[in-house]
Formats: sequence, structure tokens, C-alpha cells
Amino acid sequence: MRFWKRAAKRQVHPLHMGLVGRKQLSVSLRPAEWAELIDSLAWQDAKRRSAWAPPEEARELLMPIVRAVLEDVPPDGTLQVTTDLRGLAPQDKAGPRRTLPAPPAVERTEWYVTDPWLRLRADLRDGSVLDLSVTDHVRHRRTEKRSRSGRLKIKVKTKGVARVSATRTLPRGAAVRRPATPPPPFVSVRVREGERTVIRTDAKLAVDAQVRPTPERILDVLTELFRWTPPKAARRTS
Amino acid sequence: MDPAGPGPAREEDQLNRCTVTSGFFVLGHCGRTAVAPCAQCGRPTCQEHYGPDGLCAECRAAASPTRSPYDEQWVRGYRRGYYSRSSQTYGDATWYSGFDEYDRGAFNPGQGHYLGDYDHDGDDGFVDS
Ligand SMILES: [Zn+2]
Ligand SMILES: [Zn+2]
Repeated sequence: MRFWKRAAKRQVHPLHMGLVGRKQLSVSLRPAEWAELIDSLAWQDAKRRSAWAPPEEARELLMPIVRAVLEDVPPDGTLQVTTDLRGLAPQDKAGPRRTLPAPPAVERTEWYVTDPWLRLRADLRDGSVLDLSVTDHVRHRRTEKRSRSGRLKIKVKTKGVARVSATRTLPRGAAVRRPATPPPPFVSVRVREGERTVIRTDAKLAVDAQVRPTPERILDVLTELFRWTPPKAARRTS
Repeated sequence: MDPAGPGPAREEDQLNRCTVTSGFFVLGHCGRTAVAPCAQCGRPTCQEHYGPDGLCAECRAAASPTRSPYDEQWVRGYRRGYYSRSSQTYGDATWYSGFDEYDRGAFNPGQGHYLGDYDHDGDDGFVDS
């Protein structure tokens, strides 16, 4: 009884509520504050049925990236995340529809959906700043066909790309070294050397309405940013 | 040789620091004061990373990997697997070996079999080839 009472007192983190209600989150937090939010999400995610269960996308898409990046943020640094996990369905993401040429009794329309579902900025503990953005661009083609019996058949085909862009702005005076091997074909890299050198990677990953880029593929686009500054011999402390 | 000099003192100081790996892309070592060596890999481990099972956080994560990224331990297991897989994606064996040396350079690998046990993905054979 005592235990139950104490458990009931625990409160869902206010930002957690927004992520459940609107499937969106826009925050700038220090690692300790992230820990509180994640702790709240984890608590409800572990329950079988809960009104406050976070969306599955939070666990499968967002959390792996946040966890990995947070490892590199110092206690006094911030990780800023703006995410929209609603997917492609919301109408505010769809562009105008246009009619495509089609045979009689067939109607074809086409529109694009743009979903900038992740923006992230992090202060890293080596003094560099990491920026990441992921935007899905998906073409929709809808075919409406009326058969001779009068039945209406509707088919929607989707095809698109996720554009992943990332930059790492190095601390003043930090040097880079070209990696021994080029990045994989899906990653392009540009380096602008200067007082603060900036490494930029871009990638286009195939997606459609059902398939989104995996967090691991997104991390793969970040990896190139760090191959240009290999770790020196093992240091004892961070 | 001056035993009171700064050199040996620093070395001794380092031996008492926790060498559990931290970071994901920017690798580091915990660096807190160590309280005991890990029973499996032997690395000096701080209070926070030393469990009642006598293992460091790395060995504990390897022994019971978790699939949920909500779990605090998740990133430890994921990190090693990720370096292994992304080395293959990039065709860059030094990417993995850089991580591995970093991780292993923190302690004496002869004192345990930490690496063999850790690789639950079983797909980093390319490092030897
Ligand atoms: Zn250990
Ligand atoms: Zn430690």
C-alpha cells in the first residue's frame, strides 16, 4: 500500500507530456536535464498500457541519436533538439496537388510532402559544435480508377529521400587530417579550413511513406565528421 | 630519478583514475578516482561505474545487453557494435581499431578477456584480416 502511494506521486515530466500529446519536442537542455526527461519517458515506456506512453518513434528514432550525442556533451554544454514525430500524414506538411495526365476513367494526382522531423545542435566536450538536420521529401501519387461496375479503386504510391545534413565546427585552431579512405558513396563531405574549420556532410537516403531512415544510418552521416580528427593515443582522462 | 618529482607522481595519479570509456564520437575516459579494479577486465573503476557484481560499467553492459535506448546502459553496448559496423560501412578498419585501442589502451588487456566477451554482434572479424 505504501509503495503504491509513493509510486502514484511520481509525476510525468512536463516536456514528456508535449511529446505524447503533440508528438513534438523543441528543447535546449543540459545533460542532467535530459536525464530527467529521459527518465520520465523510460518510466512510462516500460509500462504495458499507459496514457503517458511515449510514441514508439521516440524510442526507435529519436532516442538512439539523442543517447549517442549526449555522450559527447559536457555537463555544462547543451543539446538542443527540435523534433516532429508525427510523420507524413499531417496536412500542413503537404505541398499543392497537381493533376497528372491519365486515361479516361482514371484520375491521377501528385503532391510532395516535406517533413523536417529532426534538428539538433550540440556543444561537444572537445569544444566543437555539432549540427544535424533530417528532412524527408516524399512524392505521393494517387490513382483513382472507376471500374465498369462502378467500383472506385484508390492507390497511393510513395517514393522519396531523406536529406541528412550535418556540420561540425571545430574549436579555434584545431587541425584536420584527411581520412585514409573516402566516405561511403551515400555520404559527401566538404571541409572549409579556417580559424574554425567546418566539416560538412550530406546524404540522401531512400525513404517512402512506410520507411524512414534508421538512426544508425543518420549516425553514419555523422561518423565522417569525426574521422577527420582521429583520437590521439589513449588519454587517461577526458 | 627523483621519486618526489612531478613525473612519477602524475603516473601514480593516473593509475588511480577510472578508465571506463566515455563519449560516443569524442572518446574519453571517466577519470574519476578509482575505488577498485574490475573483476573481469581489471581496469581501475570509480564508485559510480563499479557495480555490486564487481564489474565495471563496460563489462556489465556487455554481460547483459539491453535493447531499449531508454536504458542508461544501452549506449555502451551499442557503441562498440556501432564502431564495428560503421568501420565496414566506411571500409575503414582504422575507425574501429582507433576506438578499440582507445578502449583497450585504458588498461592491461592481459588481465582479462573483456574484448572477446564484449562482441555479442560477432561481426568484427574484418579487424584481423
Ligand atoms: Zn570491466
Ligand atoms: Zn568511472
